[in-house]
Amino acid sequence: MTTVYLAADAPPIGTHVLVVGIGAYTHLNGGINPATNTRGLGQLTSPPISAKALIDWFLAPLHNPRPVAGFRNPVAPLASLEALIAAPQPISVSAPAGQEPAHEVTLDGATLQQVRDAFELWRTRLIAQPGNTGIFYFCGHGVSTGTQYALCQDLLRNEGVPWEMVFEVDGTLLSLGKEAPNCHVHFWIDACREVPAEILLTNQHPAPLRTSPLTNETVERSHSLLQATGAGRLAFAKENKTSRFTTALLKTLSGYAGSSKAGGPWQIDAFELANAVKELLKVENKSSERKQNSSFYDSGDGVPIIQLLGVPKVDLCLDLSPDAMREHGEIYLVPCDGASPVDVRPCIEGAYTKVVSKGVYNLGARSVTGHFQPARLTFEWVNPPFYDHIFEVAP
Amino acid sequence: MKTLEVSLDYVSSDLAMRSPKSLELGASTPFPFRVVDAHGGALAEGAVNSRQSTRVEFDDPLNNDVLFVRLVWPTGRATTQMVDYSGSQGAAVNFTDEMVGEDAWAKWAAPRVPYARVPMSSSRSEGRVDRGDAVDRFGNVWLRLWTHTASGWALVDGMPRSSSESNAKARQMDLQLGPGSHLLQVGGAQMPWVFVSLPGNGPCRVYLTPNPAADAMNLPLKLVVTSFRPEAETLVEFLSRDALRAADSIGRFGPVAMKLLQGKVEDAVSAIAGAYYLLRVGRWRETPIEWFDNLYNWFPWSADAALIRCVVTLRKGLNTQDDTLRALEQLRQSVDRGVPLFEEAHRVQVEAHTLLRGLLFPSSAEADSSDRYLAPAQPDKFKPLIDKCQAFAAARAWTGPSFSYFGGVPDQPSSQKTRGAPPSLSCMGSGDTGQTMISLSDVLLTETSTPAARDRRPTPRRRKRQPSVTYLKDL
Repeated sequence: MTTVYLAADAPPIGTHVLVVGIGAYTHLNGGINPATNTRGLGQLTSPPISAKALIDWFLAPLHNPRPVAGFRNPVAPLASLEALIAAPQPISVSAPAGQEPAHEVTLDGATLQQVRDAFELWRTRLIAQPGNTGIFYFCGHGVSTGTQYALCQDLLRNEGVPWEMVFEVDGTLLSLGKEAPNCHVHFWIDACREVPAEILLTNQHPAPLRTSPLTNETVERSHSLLQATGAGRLAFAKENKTSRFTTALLKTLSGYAGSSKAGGPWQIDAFELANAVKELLKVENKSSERKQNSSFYDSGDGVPIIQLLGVPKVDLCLDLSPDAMREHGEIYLVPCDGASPVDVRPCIEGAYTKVVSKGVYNLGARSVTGHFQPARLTFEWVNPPFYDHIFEVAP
Repeated sequence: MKTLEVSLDYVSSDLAMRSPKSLELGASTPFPFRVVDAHGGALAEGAVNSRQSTRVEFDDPLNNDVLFVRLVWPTGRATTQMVDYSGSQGAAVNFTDEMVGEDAWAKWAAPRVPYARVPMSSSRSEGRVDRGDAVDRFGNVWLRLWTHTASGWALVDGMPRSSSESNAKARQMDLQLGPGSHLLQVGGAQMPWVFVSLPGNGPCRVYLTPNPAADAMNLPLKLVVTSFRPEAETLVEFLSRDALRAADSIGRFGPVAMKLLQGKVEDAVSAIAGAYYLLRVGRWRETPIEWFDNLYNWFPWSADAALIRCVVTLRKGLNTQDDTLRALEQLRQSVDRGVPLFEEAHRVQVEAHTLLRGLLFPSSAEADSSDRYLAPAQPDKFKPLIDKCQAFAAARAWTGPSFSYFGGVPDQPSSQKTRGAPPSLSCMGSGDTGQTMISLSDVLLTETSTPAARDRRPTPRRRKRQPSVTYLKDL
């Protein structure tokens, strides 16, 4: 267990976070004590980096009170952050001042027992106060047989029981529903969901991290499960980089999603987060041979996960076709708020790319020399995280 | 306080949604809408259908002169219109489906078919629906129909079709199905063998078109199914896409969900849709338990009703071993009654079998759980049931709001995605029904084609006769 942050004055309602990143698997290929049959599984370079990036994002506003990207939720502020990272070298995190003064903390590894212990601590904090929010992030190896299983650092410790050091994700989430009164629980699982024949054939069902008594009524207020990839599919990362899914997650959380109600603050809820992550992965898929599509499920009456500092952002990309018309055309962007200026860009400069605020716009392409008929999109909904359009024009 | 009257003129879509033998306009499809400012901040939301305009009242803290209304389709596609409030606190807006560039018969399906991302705006001329390539590419896709009987699953002899429609982009067939559970099986060289649950005991329409959103998760061919229950189907369509906010707008429109469940005597399928919605959004707690009991008891053919009752039992909490046995019996019924109708059943089934498995077959970490006394004496008796549920979860396919899964025969869901010619029944260990193959071209030529169309159509190729297989290109 490594408690990175515990709020000095526990907020009445808070957000409790558990981050687990597993890159170093002791008994897999390349591990310090590999098993005879490692089932083709090896070490991962991305999970420690991805998990650390997420921890840094959660803690950023506590290190720097100026408006920077990071976790903000005035209704349910960060109350605790528990983290485990299994990496070849121990990972240290700069823990902000909370119940303890600011200090450097070295994170524990993530064997199944360590994950269980950390989960138990996190769960106890979560259910202590009705209305709390819990976020559980896992990055590492995963498999699936309809429900998803996360593989811990000591997988294959006992070769006779190969899927022992594993926990079931769906069962863990469902179980919490019977113990967390009025709470909101979000699982972000950055792991593969391939179906290993061995599990299917042997009909093994690894247990959840905790099974709540079925005597309990389901008392949660909402839950969501955001998975990096679809059933039976793989999740990807570049060597020594933040994974695709976590990159999309962090970008979304930095303001590339969100809504506001009745003039209230801009906020991101579980559905908006999932939708933006899905769209960002789709953008990545355009240039990647390995396609990855996230998967999402939510239930209950959800509340926002974070509050934004301003209007959500959109990566806008407008272009003109055919190329021959570029030198004669310009692309314009008119926000429909009646206050913002018109933005005009000559097409000869290439595609018009810009980060704009979410909103309703009039967009168009025109030729001041009359070489082509104008094309326009009126009252266009430019929604995070990404908007692109090619104006096809004709003389 | 501002007011807005939102009306919908989707009459041509509603007309296309009529069941084949109905002369009257059926129920109208509701769509959610949101009133937003220029930055997309929401000021009000609601739902509207062609029969009934909706009036919303809302505060606009910045008193904007201009606001926008976004009408959202289940696919996420939306139409945006500007509303001018200059010098006024009240306004009205009307949405029409005239921009939906489909044949009249196909308009009902347009809001449910994903689209290549061409923005649609009611105020621009290029807002036509563009849905990619022609359906002929999938000509060799085959279809067959299964029905659940007291002795298990059986192939239906041909498609009990009453009519068909086709154009370059899509094929459509109207079926008349008997009571009970039905599965349409579809497969081909590019299309993995997939089962799609069809609503029984009445007319049912299936629309097939290339899926512009095809990817690793979405099948290359999109199937849209209706049993002419627009309210219920729109509700489960939004649920299947995890668009809970939109589903909530629909669910509160009436409020539809309670109405659907209350009216279960008249229409079990709509009641089931309403029950799934209440389970999903957490409003099952406010629903009288007797309603779920009635759904379960009055519709002994419905796998969904049994599954819904099982999960309500589990959510309420088990107190005795009898409660556990009751939940297990409800889960067993959900499997014995055939397959559920709606995609939402996959999620509910995972909840049921995951919780029950932990009780029946605890791991060493779970063995000292305080609820051990709830476990039945012979848990192994229930292992095949739990394994079967797990198999359905592993074989889950996504075709929209219909319950779907991969496999060769209905009783053997498979996580493997098999493509190619229809599986031979003898190879699969299922008895030969002795029924004849009916090519859809045969049916089409004799039932619906004009002589001119027949002349243009190539002579249908006679394939080796295989029971009850129909080819898409012949539709």
